[in-house]
Parts: sequence; structure tokens; C-alpha cells
Amino acid sequence: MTLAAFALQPGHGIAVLYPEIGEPYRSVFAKIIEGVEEQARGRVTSIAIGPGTNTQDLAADLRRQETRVVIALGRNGLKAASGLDRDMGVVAGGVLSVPEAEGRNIPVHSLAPDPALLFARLQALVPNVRRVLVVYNPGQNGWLIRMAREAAGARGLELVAYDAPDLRTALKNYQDIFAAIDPKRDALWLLQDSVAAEETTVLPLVLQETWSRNVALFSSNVAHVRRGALFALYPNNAEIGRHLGSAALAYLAAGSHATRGVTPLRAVLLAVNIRTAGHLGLNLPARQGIDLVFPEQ
Amino acid sequence: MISVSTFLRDAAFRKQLNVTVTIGVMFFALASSLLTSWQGSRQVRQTLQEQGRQIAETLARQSTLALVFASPDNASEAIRTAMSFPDVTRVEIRHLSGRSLVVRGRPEGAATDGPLPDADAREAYLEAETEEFWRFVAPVLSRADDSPYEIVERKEEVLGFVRVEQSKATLTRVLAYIFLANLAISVVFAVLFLYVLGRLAARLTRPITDLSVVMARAEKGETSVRASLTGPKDIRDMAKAFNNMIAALEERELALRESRASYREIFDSVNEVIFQTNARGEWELLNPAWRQVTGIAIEDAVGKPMASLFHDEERATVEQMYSLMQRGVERDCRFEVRFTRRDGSVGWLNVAQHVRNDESGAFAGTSGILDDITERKLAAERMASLNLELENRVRLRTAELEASNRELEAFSYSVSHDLRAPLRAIDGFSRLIEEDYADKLDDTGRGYFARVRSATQRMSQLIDDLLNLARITRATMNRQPTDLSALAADVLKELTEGEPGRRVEAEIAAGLVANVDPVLVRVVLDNLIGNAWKYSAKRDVARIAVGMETRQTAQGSERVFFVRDNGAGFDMAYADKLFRPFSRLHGTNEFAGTGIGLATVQRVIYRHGGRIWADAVVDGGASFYFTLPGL
Repeated sequence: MTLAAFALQPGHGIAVLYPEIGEPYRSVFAKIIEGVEEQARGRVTSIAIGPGTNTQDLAADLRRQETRVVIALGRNGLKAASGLDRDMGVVAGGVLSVPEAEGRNIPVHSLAPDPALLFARLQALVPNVRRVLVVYNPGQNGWLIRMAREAAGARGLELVAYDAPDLRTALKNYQDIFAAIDPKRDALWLLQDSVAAEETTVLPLVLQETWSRNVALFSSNVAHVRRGALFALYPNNAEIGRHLGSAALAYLAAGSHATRGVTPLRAVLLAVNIRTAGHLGLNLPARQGIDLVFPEQ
Repeated sequence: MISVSTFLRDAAFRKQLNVTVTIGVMFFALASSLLTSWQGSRQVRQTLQEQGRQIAETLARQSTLALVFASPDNASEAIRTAMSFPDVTRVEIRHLSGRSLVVRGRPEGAATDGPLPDADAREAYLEAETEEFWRFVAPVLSRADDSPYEIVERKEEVLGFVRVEQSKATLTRVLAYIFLANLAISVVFAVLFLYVLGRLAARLTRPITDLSVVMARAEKGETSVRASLTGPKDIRDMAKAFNNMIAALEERELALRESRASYREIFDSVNEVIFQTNARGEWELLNPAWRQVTGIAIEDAVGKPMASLFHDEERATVEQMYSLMQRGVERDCRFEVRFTRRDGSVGWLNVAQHVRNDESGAFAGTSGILDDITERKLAAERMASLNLELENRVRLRTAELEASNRELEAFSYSVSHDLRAPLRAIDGFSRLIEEDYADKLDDTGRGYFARVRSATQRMSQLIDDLLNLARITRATMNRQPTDLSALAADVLKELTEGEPGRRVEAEIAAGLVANVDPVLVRVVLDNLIGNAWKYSAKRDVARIAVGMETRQTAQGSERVFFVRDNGAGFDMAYADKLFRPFSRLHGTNEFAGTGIGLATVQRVIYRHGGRIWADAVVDGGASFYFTLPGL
């Protein structure tokens, strides 16, 4: 739905700014918006943000709508929201993270699964794991690693994190990891990271090595499970929408945000590659808890 | 060397068809081979270039690790794969700075130290092309699938580039193969096509050839030739038309032969000489009548000058006439001329000839007829001689008659004049006896003297009328346009004034005119209207009409004047006596008169070249009709 085509109705109070984008992302955002509308009981205006969207016109329209809080989805939604009036409440979602300075002022619901949930699921699937190895780009996932250290400690796991500012370092780190990895007690964690989980070079190498070394590889990205990782947690988009709706309603009720900063994804679903599990010799629990099984049958 | 126009003119239809189609088909085969080869070479070239680009792209994708780790081993498999393509002669993997990481293949690669490739390129492209090879370049990129979930937009990172040299050997080989294969196929098809076409042409042209043979036989003069009606419809139609044409020609020839025979019959049988001369004026063609007329053999005459036939005195005239025709002054001429027969006798010919022109319009001679008019000419001469004699006789007789007339008139005049003196004496003495001796006579004596006087007066009137008749006969005619209506009205007016007591209804048509002598015609009207007045005197109401009517005759229409009355009329049995002098149909005691009037009227009418006649019924009125020359 484009801005021009959109018929604004006064008095909603909540607007969702979402990127005008093709599949497969369109369905994700549509699902999130459904969740928001469900939570806010229809008092929501959805506005697609395209390349031609004028921020001033958008702000004027939102004022006319008496919008008091916007739910900014994705990179474009967040960019558009950053140009709005300061007294306009903003709830961010549909992003992995935001720069720390920005995240301090607004609540950000990240698409990166909560490490605690990941580790819990890892321990459930691979009970003898003791150490989790991860390569990350500090700019993209530094916040998450900080959170993961706490979560790992809480669950009695050792987290060994290698920072990789560039591709070459990332590959070097992986070479080092594979040189010393112990398949019996170590597991490798792949992030949603364009450097540390670069798809054409890094990912094939990692998948190849973990397969050949029988290392448990889990991921924050469901696409990696399709390609051979053991499991991943992925977002329950409608649930995310409901959380975002709740946060916006809370803002409308209180006039300010109750919480600020980045919140990891807790509304998650489980995807498991049963072939990899079989290769690792794992006994999977009942399939009821698994939301997505690979290879697809 | 035979020119195209000569070939098209002289060669048979089938040969022309075969040569033209063969050249066309061969040209088409060559052109289609070239076109197909050109099109095929474009596709092969595009395919090979696309293949080169793909090899470069693939190599670039597989060179990431090698460049990241600066380790050629990481790309050894990819390089082996790339080099395994038959046309790939050299591959390079280079860092972004241009420093080489791996170089395989031909050592003399032209781009070893060449310029750095396009830094903005994101896919493989053709960097250079020579006669022998293409050189493709593809950037080696770290892949960056952008995600809307990430705040920072991912950028592809260029790690280095690969170069792939691909030989054109395959292209050259394939091009040659395509061209030869196409040419071979085209030639085979062309030969097959020509073979089929040749058979078809033979089948198609056979009826034409047959027709041509029949036409050639007809051209050589063979009669009753007919083409067979076989082959395609067009040819059958042509053969049918040819047969019809030959039939029509035969009919015309027959008609011509008949016409010639008929003409020859006439030519040979007529009594007139039919001749033809050439441009030099020599006899060229003569019919048998020539010999009958001239006595000269035709073969002796043909080639001799035309003038040689004619009488010596006529030759100049004949040659002059011929010259006028030669020069185009005259086209036809007709003249009568004397000629000399073989036996030396002289005759007359009526020559009628007209100019003949050849196809270019130039004078080619004359043709005409010579009619022997000797008999007619002699008869005419005899007639002229007789006429002259007759005229002389008439002239003599007329002179005698005129002299006799003159003597008679003079005698009549003198007799009339001389008769008047004794008449006057008789009348004078009779009147004296009546006046002076009346008392001495009894009634019978007086009656006798009255009758003597009356007789003398009548005789005097008779003498006057005779003198008048003689005058009219002698008087000179003075013709002029004359208003007869006015003259008639004048006569009636005088009659009315003489007897004012009579009741007469007169009707005179207006506009009665004629070219006559008015004095003489006045005499006619005086007599005719006077008779009408006189013979209608016993009617209570007399009716007199003067008019004109138009009557149709064998020579056309004719104006007829008339004078009509309702008087005593007369018996038509005596009509032939009406115009004789001194003839009277009524007694003088009934109607006065001398019997000279109508004779005078007839004399005047005759002198004007007219006619006069009458129509009457006893006691039913009379009508006098006469004609006079018009204006």
C-alpha cells in the first residue's frame, strides 16, 4: 500500500511504517502488521515507506491523523521515523539491531533470537555441550555477544567469541577454530552477520568443516538450517506484531515508554535439520516442539 | 560472348526459363548460405562470448577464498575447471591492486601488465578482442545480500578480479562448418529443385513447342494445319485461338480467291479497257478489251509510253494531263481524246483515270478506264449536222412567216381601217333616213333601219376587237412584278360605276402578284371579270370572286389564278370552242359580245408562258383558271 493510495482515518493514534519491499520480506512485514492490528484492535494505520516517500509530507499526514506513536518496521521504517517530530513516540521492530545511541531512546524489538533461548535449546538437543564458539562482527552483533556471555554463564556454558572486523579475519578465525575444535564438547554458533556468516565464502567453509568434523552447528538464522546447520530459532512474526502493538498501546496509555533499548527476540519458533541431527547421532525429542523440519518432506 | 538481349531474343522459351531459374536458384542458394552463416555466426559468437563471460564469472565467484587468503591453492580447482574449456587459453586471478595471484595458460597474455579493470563493474564483461581471442574480466566480490532487517546497508566488497582469455579457434571452425554445411545443403536442394523444375518445365513447354511446330508449318505455307488441344488451359486456349485464326485465314483466302476470280472475269469480259500505268507513264496492266479496241497486242503495249496510243495532235494534251497528276495538282482527270488503232484508223476514247499512291504516299502511276466512244462521237457529229440544218430551215421559215404575218397584219389593219369608212357612211345615212324620213316610213321600215344601224355598230365593234387582237399579238412584252389584286379591283370599280344599279357581291383575294406585262394582263382581267359581270347580270345577287389556289402537279406545286361567277355558265361539251375567235356559246340577243375576248385572253396568257382553261355548269356559274409566271 503506498502513501498516496492510503486513506487516513483520524483518531487511530498508532501508525505502522513499513518498507515497501518485495517477497519474501513483504509477507514477514504483513504478518507483523497483522499482529499489531490484532493487539491494537484495528486502531492502526499502516503506511508503506518507499524510496519516494517525503518525510515532511509523512509527518504532516501523521499530525493530521493525530498519530501519537509509530511502530517503525525495518530499516526504511526506522529511517522514516527518525525524521518525525520528537514528541512522537517510536517503537522499533523488524530489525536485528540499531546503533547503540539510537537504541537508548526507544524500545527496539530485535529479530535476533535471545541467546538464552538458543543455549537452552542447544543444551536440550546436545546435552554434552560445554563450550560455544562464535565469530562476530562487533559493529553488528557486539550487543548480542554481551547478552550471550551472561546467558551462557547462567547456563553453565563457556562462550568463546572471536571478533572479525572483516572477511579475512573471519575466515582466519574459523581456521583457528577448526584447528582446535573438540566435537564432543564444543558447538559452533552462526549469527546473522554479513561478515562472520558471509554466505558465499564463509558459510560453505563452515558447513563443510562442521559436517566433516561432526561439530554441532546452530544458528540465529533459519536459512542456515536449510543449508545444513543443526537448528535455529526464528521469529514468530505475528507474535512480534502483538508485542509491538502492546508497546505502542502502553505508550499511548502512559505517554512515554516503559522500557527502552534493544530487546532480543523471544517470540521464537524452532527449525531443525533432522539429517544433520542424524549425522551427529543425536536423539531428537518428540517432534511436537519443532516448528519447521529440514530437509522439507 | 552472347549478350543478354540476344539470348532473350534468340533462345527458346524453355532454355530461357532453365537458365534464368538456374541462375536465380544458385544465387539464392549462395545468398541464403551467406545469410544463414552470418546469422549463425552471430549466434555462435554470442554463445561463445556468453560462455567466456560465464567462465569468468564462475572463476571470480570461486576465487574469493584464494584472494582472501592470498592462496592460489584455494582456486586451483576453479582454475583447472576454467582451463578445461577447450577455448580458454589463459586465466589470471589478480588482487585489486593488479598484483597477480595466479596466472595460467599462454605465457604471452597481452594483459599481464595491462590497465586495471573497471572498478565499478559488478559483473563480467569483455575487456578486449583481437583476431585470435576475447579477453573477459570479472570482479571478485564478497557477496552482500542486503537485508531490510539490518540498519546498515550491506555493500559488496571488491577483492580483486579475474581475467579469462578465450580463443576464437572454435568460432572460426564453426563458422567455416556452418557456411560449408549451408552451402552444401543449399546446393543439394538447388540441384533437386532444378531437376524437378526441369521436368516440370519440359511438361509445361511441350504443348508450347508442339504449337510452335504447327505454327512453323503454317508459316511455310502448309494448308489445313491444326494444333492439337492439349496441355494446360492457357496453352489450349492459345491453340484454339491459333486454329480459329487459321480457319479465318483460310476462309479469307477462299473469299479472296473468289473475289479475284470474279474480278478477273469482269476484268476480262468488259468492253471498256481497264488499265494501269506506272510512275513513268508507261502501260503496266491492260485487260483483253485493249486488243479489241486498239487492235494492238497487250504484250506489245505494256512498257510503252501511254501517250504513244493517242493521236499525234492529242499527245501534248495527254502528257500535260499526266504531268498534272504526277505533280499532285490533279487527282482525277477525265477527257475525250482521239487515238490511232493498229490499222491506222482513228477513233475516240473517253479516258477516266485517277492517281495511284504507293505505301509511302508517293505517286505510283494511274489507273482508269478507256471507253471507246467513236460511235457515239460520230453519231453526235451527225446529230449536230442535222440540228444545224434544221435550225437553218426554221430560221428561213420563221423569216417567211414573219414577213407573211406582217403582210397579213398590214392587210388586216388596212382592211379594218378601210371597212370603217363605208360602215360610217351606212350608219350616217341610216341615221339621216331615221331622222329626216321617219314620217315617210311605216313601222316596218323604221324597224329595218334600226336593225341596219345595230348591225353596222356591231361590225364596227368587231373591227375594233380584231385590231385589238392584232395589237396584242404584236405588242412588245414588258414584264414586271404586278399586283393582280389591285388590277382586278380597278376593273370591278369601273364596271360598278358603269352599272351602279346592280347588286354584285365581289370578293378579291389580297396579294395576288405575278411577273407579267401589266397592260396585257389588264386586258385579260377586263375580259374575264367583264364576262363574269355580263353573264351574271340575270342574277338577283351576282357573286364574282377573283383568287388564287395552289395545285400539286408532277413537276411540283403550281399557282393557279381564277375568276369565278354564279352566272349563266355553259355546257362543257362546247368547252373546246371557248377560246376560238368569233365562237360564241350564247346568242347576241341574250348576251352581247363579239367572240374575240377569250381568244385575246388566251393569246395574252400564252405569250406569258401560261395556260388557261374553264369549268362551268349550265346556269350554275363558270370558273376560268389560268397560270402566270411567279416573281
